Amino acid sequence: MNWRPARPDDLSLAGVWALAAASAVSLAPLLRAWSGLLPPCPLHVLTGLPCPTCGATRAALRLVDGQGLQALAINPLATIGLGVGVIGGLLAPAWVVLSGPVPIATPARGTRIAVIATLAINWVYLVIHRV
Amino acid sequence: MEERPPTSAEFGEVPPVPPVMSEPPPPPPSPPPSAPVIPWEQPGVDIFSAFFQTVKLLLSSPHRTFASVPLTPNIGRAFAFGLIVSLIATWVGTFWQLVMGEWWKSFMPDTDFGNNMAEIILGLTAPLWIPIVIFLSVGFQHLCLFVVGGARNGFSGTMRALSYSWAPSLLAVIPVCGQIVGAIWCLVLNIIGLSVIHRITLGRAALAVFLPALVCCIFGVLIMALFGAAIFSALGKGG
Repeated sequence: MNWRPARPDDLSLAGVWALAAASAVSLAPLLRAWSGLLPPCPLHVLTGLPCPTCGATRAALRLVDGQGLQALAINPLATIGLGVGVIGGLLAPAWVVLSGPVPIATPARGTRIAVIATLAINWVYLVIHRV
Repeated sequence: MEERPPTSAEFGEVPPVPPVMSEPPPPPPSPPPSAPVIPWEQPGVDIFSAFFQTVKLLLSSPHRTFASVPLTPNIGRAFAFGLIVSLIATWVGTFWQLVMGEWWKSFMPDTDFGNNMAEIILGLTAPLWIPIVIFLSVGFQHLCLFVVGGARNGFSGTMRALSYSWAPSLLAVIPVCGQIVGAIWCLVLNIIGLSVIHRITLGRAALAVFLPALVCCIFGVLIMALFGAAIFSALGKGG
């Protein structure tokens, strides 16, 4: 993974990210009420097995309740993604202003294989633990 | 004595030869006219004109319009477009849901149409949850694009493709069929937008869009095939 210092151009992306993170934090108290409105996973209904994103809402609810370990046990990748998404978003504008290092996501074959492997391992975990 | 013409030496100074006036150099060729930028991202255009012109262009000539999208890292305008379009579509959809809900219930009294209060709360809090949905949608789309090897112009490219592809969701102003037609049109624009902005084929863009559904379907078929094989084998042993 290559890195470069943040530039002023990155401020708009950091701002959008911060807005999404701040919205998520402000709506966290309503998540439990809204989680019932979400439709069930079609794959789970048809086959009884989870799709790669199954458990993400439950993991989010555990995070809102401050139960990070339980959230990780439900869906590790979704929990890490949610954590990085919210905390990273709140810090992003300051990070850009301070010219902190940002990763350069290269579409190299090795990077793509690593991403696919991570998604696949997480999905196998969900299937084994019958999430 | 015959007069001879005076020599130049007798004149003293040689009259200066007037310089040969060369033609003025041709003016440098004028630079080719810059490609028009999508109205929403043109500086100096008033916001209402820019919005309606952008929507009209996206609906009438999407390929050319997406080709005019600038690929700068500044995604603020594109995000704002997606936010405005999504807000309008959500509020109009909520309005029709509340107005037409009773009418639908009269035709299908046994069907559960959900809670009106939930619709109202979702509509009122839309400015808060729509930014989350946009960011998650773009992130997920970009991940799928990355997996199929099509993320050539970065997250900002995907943000622009997705935000502008939501223009047809304004068809929600038409009750009943507007949302359905708009959703399908948004999907088509999404594929075109990703193809043009990331400079990939339409096939690869479509693969990125449908990747989650494809993976789940293939997985589901494999599971059913395995179960089918196991049941067949058990029946064969039992018979």
